[in-house]
Amino acid sequence: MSEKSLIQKAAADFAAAELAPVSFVPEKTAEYTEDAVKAMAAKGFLKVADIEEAAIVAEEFGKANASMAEVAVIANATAEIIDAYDASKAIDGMTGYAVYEEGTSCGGVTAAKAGDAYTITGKKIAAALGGAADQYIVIATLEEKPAAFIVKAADAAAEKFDKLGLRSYPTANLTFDAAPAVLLAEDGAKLRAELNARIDILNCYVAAGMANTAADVSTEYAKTRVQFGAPIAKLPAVQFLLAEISIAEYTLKAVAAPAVEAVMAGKSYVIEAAKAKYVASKAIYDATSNCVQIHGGTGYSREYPIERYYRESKTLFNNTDYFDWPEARIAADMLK
Amino acid sequence: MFGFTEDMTEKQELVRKFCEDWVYPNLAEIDAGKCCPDYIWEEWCKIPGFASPCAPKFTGGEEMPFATCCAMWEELGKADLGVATGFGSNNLGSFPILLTGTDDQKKEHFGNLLQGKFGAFGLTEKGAGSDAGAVATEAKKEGEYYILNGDKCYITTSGKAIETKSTLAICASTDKSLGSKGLTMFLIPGDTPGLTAVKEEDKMGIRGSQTCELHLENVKLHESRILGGPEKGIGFGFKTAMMTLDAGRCVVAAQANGVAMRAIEMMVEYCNTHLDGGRPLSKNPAATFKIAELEAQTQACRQLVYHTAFMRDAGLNHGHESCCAKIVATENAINATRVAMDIMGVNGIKKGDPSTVDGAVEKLYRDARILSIYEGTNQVQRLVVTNGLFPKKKKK
Repeated sequence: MSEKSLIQKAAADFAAAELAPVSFVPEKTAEYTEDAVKAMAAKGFLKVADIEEAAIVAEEFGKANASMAEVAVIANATAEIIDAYDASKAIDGMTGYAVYEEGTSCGGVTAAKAGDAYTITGKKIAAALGGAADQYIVIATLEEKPAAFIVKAADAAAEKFDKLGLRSYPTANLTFDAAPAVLLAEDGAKLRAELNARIDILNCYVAAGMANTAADVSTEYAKTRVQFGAPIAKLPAVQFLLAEISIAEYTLKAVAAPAVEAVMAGKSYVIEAAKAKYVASKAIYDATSNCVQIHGGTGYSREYPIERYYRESKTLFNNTDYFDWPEARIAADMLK
Repeated sequence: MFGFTEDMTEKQELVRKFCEDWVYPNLAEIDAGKCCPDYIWEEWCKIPGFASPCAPKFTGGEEMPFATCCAMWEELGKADLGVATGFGSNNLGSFPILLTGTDDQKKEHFGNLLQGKFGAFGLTEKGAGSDAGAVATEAKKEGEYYILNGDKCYITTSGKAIETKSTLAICASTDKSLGSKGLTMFLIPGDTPGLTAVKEEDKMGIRGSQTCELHLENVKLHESRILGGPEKGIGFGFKTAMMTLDAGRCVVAAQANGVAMRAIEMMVEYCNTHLDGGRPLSKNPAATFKIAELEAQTQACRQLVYHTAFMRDAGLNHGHESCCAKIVATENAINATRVAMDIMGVNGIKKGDPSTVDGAVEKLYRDARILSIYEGTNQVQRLVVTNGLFPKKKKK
């Protein structure tokens, strides 16, 4: 067995045993499953060796519990970016990410320098791992330019941010009142683009896992649901919906692979990630929407997980950066 | 909008005022429950004719034109798709009675609705969704009576119809050997022994609409309860149901247009009030062109809905147009909520106050997804359209 296969098996076994059982009710009630996260950390899934391993974990977790998969995505992406910029700032715990602000994409949260120290003031919304992380990467304006800082969780007031899907994955609005901060990168725009890119790449694999599950449950339902005297799997209209889900799963991994290779090779990966996100956000939406459509009324009921996949698909790529980011970034690269 | 009559404009404005007063301010409460709060329904019923817009004049109703109903439900759908679906049950649940009921049955049924009670239309079963002809609920004849046994699911406002002792139109098989041609529609009083609402569905969206599972156990009905009477009504249930859906699908399309219009309204407000890179999003063509495209599609969908509605009011066959309207309008509405999510980013996924731009889109996204499922899935609509385009050749 190759090393990748071993990681994949370990992640799949863990997801089936520990994450699948807490995927349904906690998501419905927006409950943070802290014990599951602790178990993920104890097994080393929140600080893996590289993006290849993080992608494997994201996909396997995505099959069982997308909320917990997203926890792993953020924890691994932030850990990697800290290592890439300043390994001395690495910690044992989880690092969250605060970028959005009320009424604007970014820019209102400010940093002040006093001697060698910095402080951060302002409010971020929907911070990734908000309320659960040990520290946050915060993008704040320093001398009219974005810079990236690390702020301890204890120095931020967290207020839960509830959302459409992935409701067990914690997000919170964070308020900083002259919070002590450590400078991670003066070029916050670059770090932000790279961190967003890493999150988007890994989200493609979470989505691939979700699409795999959507394909499995849809196929099973189509084989067993009888209408017009035969399983609905016999109907071309249903077959086409099923095929599109399978194509989405294939597409999701295919578009993300070049970006993973670029990261592993130490090359620029932001444009590759933008292209992957552009395709992936539509692909996973279509896959989960088809899954609902195949299930009909059952797919719309909160008694079953199908509607959850639909809510999660739109939440997944909406918690990183603003709407036109992939197109804008790709076009800017083409026109430079 | 071409062709809007004075009546359509007047009634749509009344609905708009009602929504501003009663629906928008209470969207959070509506979305938290499984049924529209009674006080909102009671206020709706205070507006003359609104409790059952299609009720014939001889029953005391206003017998509003179908196009007027579509204009009203577009506006209701814009405010809340669940409320529109629930209130619409007094239209949908009434079409079978309008189509094939006797005058006495119409007086009884619309008499109930005009008093502020809910109607319901029970066709779907666990084994009979898209395949409506597979209804397993059985009605066995015993002298002048029929004994009904079976289960129905996803029946809008049926719990309310039972609770208020109103009347429900329920489809059952009087002759299983005939398949869909053995189906018969019954008008059942809500307080008939053996008729119970056993479960209220917990749905992803349209939570302002009550959806129940019904159980019928030895429900004993006199043959006069057959819709249209025992001579005309036996075996006419499937045809009645399909004719009912011809109208229902157009109303669903009208509601879908309302959803799309609301999504566009929210996107415009969001773009006017949010900055991206230091300038309003409304100055960014990447956002505004997406909204413009949706506006163009939505206006086209509205034309199709009203074209279909005018055909119905003119007594023309409109089944094909109704299916076409349902396909394009519902898929446009679902897409509009997806695009709104994309434009609003993290603000789109936020569970906030749904009466404001701060939480409207999260709810719209959940609500809209039912549109391509209920009233016949969009795959079934495509099948009907296909059958119209490729009619079976008659055997010589």
